[in-house]
Amino acid sequence: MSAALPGQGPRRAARLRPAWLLTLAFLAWRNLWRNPVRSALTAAAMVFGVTSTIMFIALIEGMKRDMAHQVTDLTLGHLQVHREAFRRNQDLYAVIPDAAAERLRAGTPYRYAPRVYAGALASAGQASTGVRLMGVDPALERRVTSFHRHVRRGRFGLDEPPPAEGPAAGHYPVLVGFQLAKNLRIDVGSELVLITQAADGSIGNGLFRVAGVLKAVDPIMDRMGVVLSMEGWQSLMFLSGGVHELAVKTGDVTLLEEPQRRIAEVLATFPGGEAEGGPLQVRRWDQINPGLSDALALTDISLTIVAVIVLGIAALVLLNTILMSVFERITEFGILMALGMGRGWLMAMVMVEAFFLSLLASAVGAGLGALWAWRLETVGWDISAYMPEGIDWAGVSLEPIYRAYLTGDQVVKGVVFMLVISMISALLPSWTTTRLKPTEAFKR
Amino acid sequence: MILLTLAWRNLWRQARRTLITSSTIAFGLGLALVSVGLGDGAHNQMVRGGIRLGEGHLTVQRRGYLEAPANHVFLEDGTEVLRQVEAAGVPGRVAPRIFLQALISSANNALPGGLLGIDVADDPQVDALRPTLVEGAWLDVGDPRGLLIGRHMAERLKAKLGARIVVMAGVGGETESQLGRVRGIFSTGIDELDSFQVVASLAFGRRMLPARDGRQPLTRVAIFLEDDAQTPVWREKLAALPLPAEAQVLTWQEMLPQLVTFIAFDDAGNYIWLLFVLVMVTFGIINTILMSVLERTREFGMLRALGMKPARLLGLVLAETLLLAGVSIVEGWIIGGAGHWYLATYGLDLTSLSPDVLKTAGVMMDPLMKSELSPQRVAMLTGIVFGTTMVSGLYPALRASRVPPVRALQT
Repeated sequence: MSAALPGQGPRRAARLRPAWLLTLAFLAWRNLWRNPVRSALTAAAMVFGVTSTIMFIALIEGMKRDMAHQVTDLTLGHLQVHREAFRRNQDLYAVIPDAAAERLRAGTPYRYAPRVYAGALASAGQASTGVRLMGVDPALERRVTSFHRHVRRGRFGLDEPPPAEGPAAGHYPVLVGFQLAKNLRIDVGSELVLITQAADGSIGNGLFRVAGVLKAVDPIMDRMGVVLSMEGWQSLMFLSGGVHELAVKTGDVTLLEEPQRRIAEVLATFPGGEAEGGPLQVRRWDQINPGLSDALALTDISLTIVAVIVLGIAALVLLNTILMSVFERITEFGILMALGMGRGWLMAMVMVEAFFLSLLASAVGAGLGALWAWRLETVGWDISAYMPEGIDWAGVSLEPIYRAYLTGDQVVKGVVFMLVISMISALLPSWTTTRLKPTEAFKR
Repeated sequence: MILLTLAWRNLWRQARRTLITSSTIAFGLGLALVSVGLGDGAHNQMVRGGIRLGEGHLTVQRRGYLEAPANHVFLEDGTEVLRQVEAAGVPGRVAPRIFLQALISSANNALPGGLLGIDVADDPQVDALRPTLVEGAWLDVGDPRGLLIGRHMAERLKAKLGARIVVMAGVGGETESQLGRVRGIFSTGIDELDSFQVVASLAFGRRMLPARDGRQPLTRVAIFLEDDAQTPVWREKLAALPLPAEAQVLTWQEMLPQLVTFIAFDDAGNYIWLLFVLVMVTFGIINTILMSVLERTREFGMLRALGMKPARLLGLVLAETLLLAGVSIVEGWIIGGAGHWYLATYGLDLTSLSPDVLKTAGVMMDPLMKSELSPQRVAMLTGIVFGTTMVSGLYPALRASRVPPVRALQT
């Protein structure tokens, strides 16, 4: 190393040798633990930050999945087909012709579940309220949604024909929303009177029997939903020629562009004038329920903000610590520089200290975070004690159990984020070391 | 007190460090103020909406309706209840209402809906709904068959102005149908109202409910107070009235339990997250204060050797922490105050993310969130941050006072 006379200013940094990197690493690591309490405290703050960020992200991801699953798997399906007039105004006569459903079944590999809807007046004992009837084909419905498993009390039972004898002879079975059951004071086995305005304008009415009470689906189904078999529905409405809705299930809920295109091709072969109720349309679940996608996007943004703030504070703590550790070693740094250690190397050493500390904290934080998130995924966080009826938000009803969903990339993201923020916050204090003059340092 | 002067000077000997530490604390406080402000603002707005568009601050309705709303659970002697409530001199508005769950049908379609019969001249709903009329006009007092329906319902029923609508409702085993005519169509932007609500006069509603012995029935009497804070006071006063046995006085909290639970839950979530922030800020502070104490070991040893008692030394370090807390809190108020002012004036506009008003916990949530901070909240958060800072400074202060002078001077 070349010596310079006093007053000649900074010397050239010597050329890089690999062995020096190892020495640097060793020095950095040892420096960290010269003050174990401080390093531990700082690491603790960072561990806390990483752990909570990972847990939070996993929890939110779980909630998003639950909501998306609730919507697609449960009732909506991946795509839906409607006549435009039905989609807009619930026009009773805007049906998808049976021929269209057949052509779709023949020409595409997806599964279709037909549905019909109507308004009705439901009465049980003294209580009465307006309801929305939904007619389904039980066998086909099972293949498209998991609706048949979503029964809180009783059973799905819509496959069964009405009993031939007994007090319920000729009564079709129905499923009711849980809030509707509460309001009408009915339960499994209760009798329900339904009055409708049939498709030909006459008054349809009939007696039905409650086979099951549904779990939370969405606010409308919960408060006003009555589900029957197609036959049961037709016994009230007498609508012929087609259905109102086809729920579609494809192989992959994330790849819906292609199925949408194929279905649209088939649908275009059917007339869609005003007389029929407009063209036949197929939409993806996120197009049908934009409120939900919006709510999910909102969650994503608030999640990012929270993560940035939490990790930012942890990084501030790190900044604090490094700043102090640099200031109290000024004399030492002065000596090192006088002995010929280049400025860049000093800065590098401090940066490596910061790196090791944040690496250690991130590793521990990632481990703890992953553990907790995994526990939340398998066991879940049961809040039914506080909200027994579940939560309804943005048009979806959720059961009161929060389940997390842990993925590797969440953990990686949390760690990388922490490391990056730490390195950035370590830049300023480590850079101050380069401005030291050895002679000044000795004066301290 | 010379202790404070010393403490203040000590703080600024290390200006950069003091500023960084106080900024960390200030950031924590500012963040707390903003996030609690937004939370409170959103909750208050939901409550106000729930009260204004709902059944007021207090409601008198039949016992049993709350648990299981049903058409036949009405106040038989509605006019008597109304008379007593009005005579009690409530500072606000009193609205008699009839509400029936019904099937609304036109020639083209039939839909579930809710019939709301109100005093079309006086009910607070008029103020809420009249500005949203997009077609036709508000109901006249002398129009017994006039109806107002929401835009979505009008589309689904294919009903234009003047169209005939049949309202069918079951009341205690009997089914009543009444014919009405559309006089106006409203569009509130709230899906629930635009799709299900049918507004009519009280007279129309009365046709659907059986009247016995000349007593006029009502579903409920809704009371809207001028001052929210008066709610518990007037609940007591109304409960003390000689109302018919069937009547029950309820507060808005009892009418909207889902909302109350949601707010409590949301608050809890907010506090947990603030706790996180606080914990991390604490780690940072302890670090700094401890270091500043340890590097002055020699100085403290000198002070002890010169006769300063350990207790006073403890007091000195605590005084430093106190002043640091003071500075940080002022800084925090400035940061938080600025944030709160901006959010209270302009709000946090989330409409680009979700243009529709979201229905949450049974009430509407406006995507434009405005911040609201009460003095109590500010005091509470300030107190928490202050307390935490002082607690963080406790351990370092104890360390400082404990070192024996001889050992200290050897450093």
